[in-house]
Amino acid sequence: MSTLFETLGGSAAIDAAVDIFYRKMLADDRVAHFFDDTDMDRQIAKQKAFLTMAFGGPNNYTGKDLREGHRHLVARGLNDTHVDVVIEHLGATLRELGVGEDQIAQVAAIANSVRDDVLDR
Amino acid sequence: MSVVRFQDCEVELRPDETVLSGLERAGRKIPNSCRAGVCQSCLLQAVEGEPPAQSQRGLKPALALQGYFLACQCKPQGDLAVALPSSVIPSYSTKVLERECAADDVVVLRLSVPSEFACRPGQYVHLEIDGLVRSYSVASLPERDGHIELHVRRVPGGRVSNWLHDAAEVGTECILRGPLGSCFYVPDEAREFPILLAGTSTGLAPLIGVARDALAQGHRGPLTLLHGARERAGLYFAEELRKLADTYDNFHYLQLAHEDGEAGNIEAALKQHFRKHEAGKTRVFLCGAPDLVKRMKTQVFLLGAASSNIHSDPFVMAPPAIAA
Ligand SMILES: Cc1cc2nc3c(=O)[nH]c(=O)nc-3n(C[C@H](O)[C@H](O)[C@H](O)COP(=O)(O)OP(=O)(O)OC[C@H]3O[C@@H](n4cnc5c(N)ncnc54)[C@H](O)[C@@H]3O)c2cc1C
Ligand code: HEM
Ligand code: FES
Repeated sequence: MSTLFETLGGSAAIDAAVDIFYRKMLADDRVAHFFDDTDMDRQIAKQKAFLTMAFGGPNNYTGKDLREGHRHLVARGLNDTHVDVVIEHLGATLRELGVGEDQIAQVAAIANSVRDDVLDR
Repeated sequence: MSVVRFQDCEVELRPDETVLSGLERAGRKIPNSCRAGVCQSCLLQAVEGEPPAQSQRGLKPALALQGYFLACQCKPQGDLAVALPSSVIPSYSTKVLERECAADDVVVLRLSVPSEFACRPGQYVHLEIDGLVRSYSVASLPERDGHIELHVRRVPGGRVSNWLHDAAEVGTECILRGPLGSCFYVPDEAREFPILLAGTSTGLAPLIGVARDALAQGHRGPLTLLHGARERAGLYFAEELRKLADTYDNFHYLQLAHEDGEAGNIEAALKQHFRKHEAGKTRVFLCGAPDLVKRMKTQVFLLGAASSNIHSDPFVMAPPAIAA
């Protein structure tokens, strides 16, 4: 059985999705401020890591990594509404790329499954 | 705490201390300039131990695999034995062939091309002056023009830039390393994609380098160069750029002076550009003051430029050293 990541097109899908997704995030006042002080090239690399994970692809992140990686953002007010925004833009991005609704739901489920880690609860 | 070994010394790093700061504390001189992971002048090689990924960001994969890392970004988890890079960034001796005062605060230096030296316009070189290393971008096509053209802005209180303005004369010799950086023109089959070049002050050096190179290689797509400065007098090389625009129909040159208010607004000019040219196909080059480069980068990305098509060299300067 192929993984969702492979079904979506592997790393080529990540490359296609990252600009669309990150542009949506930066253009959205609800979340853009979390990305203010970071270099764009570095962010693009991190967004690729994020998308690989959300697409169920190979990654070495543990719940602990996600906790530590977002703790400084939680301190700045990161909460459930922001995770919802991420899932919303993720869905819209995949829809633009012609991905089916059932697969979009799977991606949302993966993102949801790490919600507590990201929000450090 | 991790221990760093270098030549005959051993330093125990303090919490949150970089390899660069630790070795300096031990009295070692490691070349450095931006202290921000941009210029790559603090390159070291780990001969034992693993440098953290963060310290290898931006290095060519081949270098990272060989254990090279940036000392100013390196806060190792374990112990490291490190060495100066031997031959990865070749070093040459060069001398000043010509100097031209292009504006009140800009001197253009044309240096001899050492044999074996090759670079692409838009890349940068390191000049080594009295043990200090600074990066300057190449504006000419060394092979064609027979010189390496650098544009140096006088930075108030800056050690190397003032020396280059006041003490470097025709005939002065210095050490050059390089080339580095990936801000240069890469043609494709059709050579029709739009190119947008934007920068302030001596950010013009790599931009005019890319433009000269692209035109020399027969680029057919539109090239737009936006040059910004605080005052109109700072827009040096205007005559040459206008001449280039007269010679090549596809080359457009726009002056943006801050003193002109809205008409000199570089961000408005970027927006204007993408009304005319398809953002998704445009290759963008942004150079100069780091804050502005960062803002322009986000802006052109939001206007639709692909992240992989945005090339930039922020001219990062190290903050003044804190007296130990
Ligand atoms: C990739 C790259 C490409 C570059 N290309 C170019 C280029 O083409 N043209 C160009 O002009 N520049 C370029 N630069 C910038 C250049 O490398 C130098 O950083 C710049 O010339 C300043 O060097 P300096 O030795 O004169 O200043 P430094 O002596 O390093 O001083 C840097 C800053 O610290 C301040 N300072 C220094 N000493 C003190 C003190 N005692 N007290 C308080 N403040 C102090 C200075 O005022 C200045 O703001 C580039 C940089 C990078 C990273
Ligand atoms: C929905 C689940 C989420 C997952 C699976 C996830 C995953 C990741 C991953 C893997 C990284 C890279 C970490 C690294 O390599 O350093 C990262 C970084 C980042 N994430 Fe998330 N993320 C999620 C939600 C969010 C949300 C809601 C926000 C804010 C709106 C956010 C903002 C960031 C930022 C700003 C970084 C970069 C941090 C830095 O530069 O240090 N993330 N995320
Ligand atoms: S990259 Fe380390 S000093 Fe510039």
